[in-house]
Amino acid sequence: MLKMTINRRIRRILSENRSQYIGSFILIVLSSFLFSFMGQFACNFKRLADNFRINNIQEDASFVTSVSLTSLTELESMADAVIEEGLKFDYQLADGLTLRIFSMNEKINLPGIVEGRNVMADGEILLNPVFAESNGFGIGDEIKIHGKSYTITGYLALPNYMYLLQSEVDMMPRPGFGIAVVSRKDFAGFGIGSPFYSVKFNHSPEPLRVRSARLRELIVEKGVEIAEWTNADDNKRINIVDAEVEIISMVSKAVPTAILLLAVIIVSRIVSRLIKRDSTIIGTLYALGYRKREIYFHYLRLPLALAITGSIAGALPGLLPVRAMVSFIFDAFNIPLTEIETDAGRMAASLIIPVLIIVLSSYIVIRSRLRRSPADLLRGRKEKTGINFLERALNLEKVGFTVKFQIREQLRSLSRVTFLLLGIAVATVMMQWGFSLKKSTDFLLTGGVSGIYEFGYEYKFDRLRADPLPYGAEPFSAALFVPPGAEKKDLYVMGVLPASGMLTLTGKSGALLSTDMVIATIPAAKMLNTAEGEPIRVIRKIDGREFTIRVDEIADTYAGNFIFMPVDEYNKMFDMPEGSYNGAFSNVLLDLPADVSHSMVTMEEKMAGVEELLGPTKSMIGFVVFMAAIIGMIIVYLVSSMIVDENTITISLMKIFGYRRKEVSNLVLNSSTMVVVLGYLLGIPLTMSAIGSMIQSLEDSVGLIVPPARISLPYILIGFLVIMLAYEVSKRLSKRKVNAIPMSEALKAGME
Amino acid sequence: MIIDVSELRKSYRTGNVVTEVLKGVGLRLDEGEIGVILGPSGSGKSTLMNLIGGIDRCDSGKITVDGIEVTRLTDEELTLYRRERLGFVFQFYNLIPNLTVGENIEVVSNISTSPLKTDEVLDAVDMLDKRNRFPQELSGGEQQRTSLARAIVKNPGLLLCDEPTGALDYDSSLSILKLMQGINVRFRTTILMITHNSAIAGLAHRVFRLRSGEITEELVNKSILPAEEIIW
Ligand SMILES: Nc1ncnc2c1ncn2[C@@H]1O[C@H](COP(=O)(O)OP(=O)(O)O)[C@@H](O)[C@H]1O
Ligand SMILES: [Mg+2]
Repeated sequence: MLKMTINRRIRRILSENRSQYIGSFILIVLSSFLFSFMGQFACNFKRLADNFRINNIQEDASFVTSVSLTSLTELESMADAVIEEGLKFDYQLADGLTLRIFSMNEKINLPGIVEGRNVMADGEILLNPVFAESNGFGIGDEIKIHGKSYTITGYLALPNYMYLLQSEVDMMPRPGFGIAVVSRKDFAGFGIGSPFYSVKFNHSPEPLRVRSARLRELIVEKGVEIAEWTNADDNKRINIVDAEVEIISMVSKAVPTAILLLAVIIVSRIVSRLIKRDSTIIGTLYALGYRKREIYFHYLRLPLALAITGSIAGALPGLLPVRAMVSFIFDAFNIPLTEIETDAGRMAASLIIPVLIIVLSSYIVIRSRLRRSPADLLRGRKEKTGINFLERALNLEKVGFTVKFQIREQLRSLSRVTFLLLGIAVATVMMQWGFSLKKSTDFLLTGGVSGIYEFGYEYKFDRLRADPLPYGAEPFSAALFVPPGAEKKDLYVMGVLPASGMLTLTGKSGALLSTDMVIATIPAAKMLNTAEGEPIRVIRKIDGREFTIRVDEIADTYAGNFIFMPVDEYNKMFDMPEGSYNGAFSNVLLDLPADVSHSMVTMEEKMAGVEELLGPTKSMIGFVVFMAAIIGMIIVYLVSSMIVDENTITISLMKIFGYRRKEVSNLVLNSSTMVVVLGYLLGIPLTMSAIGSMIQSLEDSVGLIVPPARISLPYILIGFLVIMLAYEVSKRLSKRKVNAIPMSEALKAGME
Repeated sequence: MIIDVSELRKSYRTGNVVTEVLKGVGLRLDEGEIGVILGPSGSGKSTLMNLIGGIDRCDSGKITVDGIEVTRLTDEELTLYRRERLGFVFQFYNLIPNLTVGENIEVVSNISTSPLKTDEVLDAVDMLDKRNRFPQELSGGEQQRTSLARAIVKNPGLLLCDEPTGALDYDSSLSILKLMQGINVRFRTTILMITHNSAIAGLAHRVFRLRSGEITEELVNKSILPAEEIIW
């Protein structure tokens, strides 16, 4: 009988507080959905990448030597590794279209077939899908290289080119760059191409870095000079995948957790109020001999039902867009999408974690409410809602009535005001994060290079050269270095002409810096943790030799990790032949002999297609900002509904006293304005720290240093407008509820 | 004459059942008088008062208050009518729980054109020292005194009190009644009070008996008692 009464009461509470119930349900669904969707996305991304690496035998390292290695088998057995020689050259397909063509490997870095079939005969070629599709090459089409036609038999992915960077200094792939593979025989027909070696060590517990260093020594002992050496761990074309997976899985946990926290506040509130209302009945049930457990379970049923239905309604649909999302991101990462699998662990977590957290928090609420004795509970009805310490401590004598009333209204329920504050802050973080995504993409695509480079073409030669360059070109020498003890981070030290006309570097004060000094970019200086004039140690990546450099000036740019110095000084300091160089900046196309193996990048290419690449990013940003606005709206609507529900008598009373509808709404609903503004302001520093930790993780995993999180004023204002708009809309919806409250509510008050 | 009610009818419909609550009620009260409506529970007292107070609308009949034909006012005009002319006191005080005593008074003075000072009315009901207390920290009598202060802060022409002592013990009731009589004398406020306690009729100028929606008796009190002499 009494249980039936309670059930009826629960039903009544549900209908009375429908908005809270629906709101918390939506938040649980949203949280579960994102947790499941983004989690499955991250799992599939990682699994597909890992499978590709293993099945197609990703290299452990690759290197280029000054002369071809003659006795590979001997070296293989000495280093306990598989070493395969490959050939490549960059082919200028058209203006702005560069195809890097590889000879087919048989042991390491085997092409993965994304679509179509592998090359089997001569005259066949594989292309990477994004390049093919964006330039109108279909399977079966012909492509002309050096005057000879090749049939495209399929689309490929290479394990050492999962992230399609043309040059290692790049940060993002560009649309005009693609990769292709032809048979060894066909490649020989080109008559050009520079050899490089891929290494895969046989299984052993020894760290790769150590084995890598030993192999280097073996090669040097043979009297062969190593021109370039890259371990897979330091290879951006490989390790950016790990960074991306890490960021996605970070976001896939943080965002749903924040949303779930909001749901927890609301559900705890519902339960707490339910028990407060029912305390007489509970006291009676105790008195009648009901066990605590039975009563606990009874009140846990509501949150349990909410959490179970919510997590199912969120987690299962979360599986649907996983394939679309993976295929979307695989436009940026060239990895075969073989099959989407559902990660059982993540699925279970998406279903169980929300239930666990909601039920646990409800349990804590119930326990703290039911701790009183049955006699106390029976008396409980008399005990009105308490006045909290903030309300009591507040001295509002000097404040106008409207502000006073609004402050009191907000402070009346600390859980409600916390919810509003946190909710708006979460929405703000999401939105500003979306905006900063756009800004950092802009930076990565343009800001990185546009500011300082003043040349049209950048050449890199596979061997050292000393020949004079024509007018309009400047030689440079460059090598990769790492700071001691931080092999993940690398920087280029570049020897350039003193007073180079190809680089515009400015100091902190804005004054032009001449390249007759040693100049570091900000990311390089940060990486080395150095100030002007301090000697710093750096280790040359290729041979592990340590050098000491003294940086004279720090240039005010984030354009990559570079230290520039006069080329003669460079050659002397790093033991390079006098007058030698391995690259050139140029404003004219160089007429190089056919045997000079090189790669060339045009600056226009670097800039081209920025808009194209921004396309998907823009739609992502739009989605994130839209989601943030929706979350903001749900939260404000929920809070407004709570305020109205909890103030029916006050509102009714005000109407009796002759308040106009507008005046009532102003006092009651507008009270949230200050909290919304405060929540927004709180969101700004939170965004900074969120982005900060993301940048840090990028820096730690791939050594990418981007400018510190700085939220620009226009975006702060735009975000504020969006939040305030969402606030106005939900306030308008709540106004109807205020208007609908009859004056008789107050007249009935106290009668029951 | 400040209140003139004639032929007032009101019925409620719940489902298919129509209850006739007021069946042609007539009532008059002069300015500065205290009128008491006596009647058993369910006789329609509150309904009548809500109609006079412009909180509810009648089916037919006419109510004039201070020359205003209340029964013909639009919603907006009714709002203004309540705002400018009426003070309300309820049986269960209806103080706003999260506002202090002083702030509860300000809820009304906030929308009045020339309100009295909060401290002045609080002093009048002897609540000045509890100005910063919250309602739940007060006794019933203190809460009703606050509610009375709230009703008179705008210095209304008409004070409508629905069972103002209905929830109070004898001593507290007496102090409320004394205050009301004092207000009536000091500010010449017309007071219409509902009660089912016939002893209270002793302080009224006019007494109306309501039974099943009809005025069965109207009485002009020749020997008005001071509140402190009322006994029950
Ligand atoms: N809103 C309403 N709907 C339906 N019936 C009502 C309503 N208000 C009052 N009544 C009925 O009208 C009658 C008179 O009520 P009321 O005026 O409150 O009496 P009193 O105040 O004298 O006790 C009662 O029978 C009551 O049930
Ligand atoms: Mg009544």
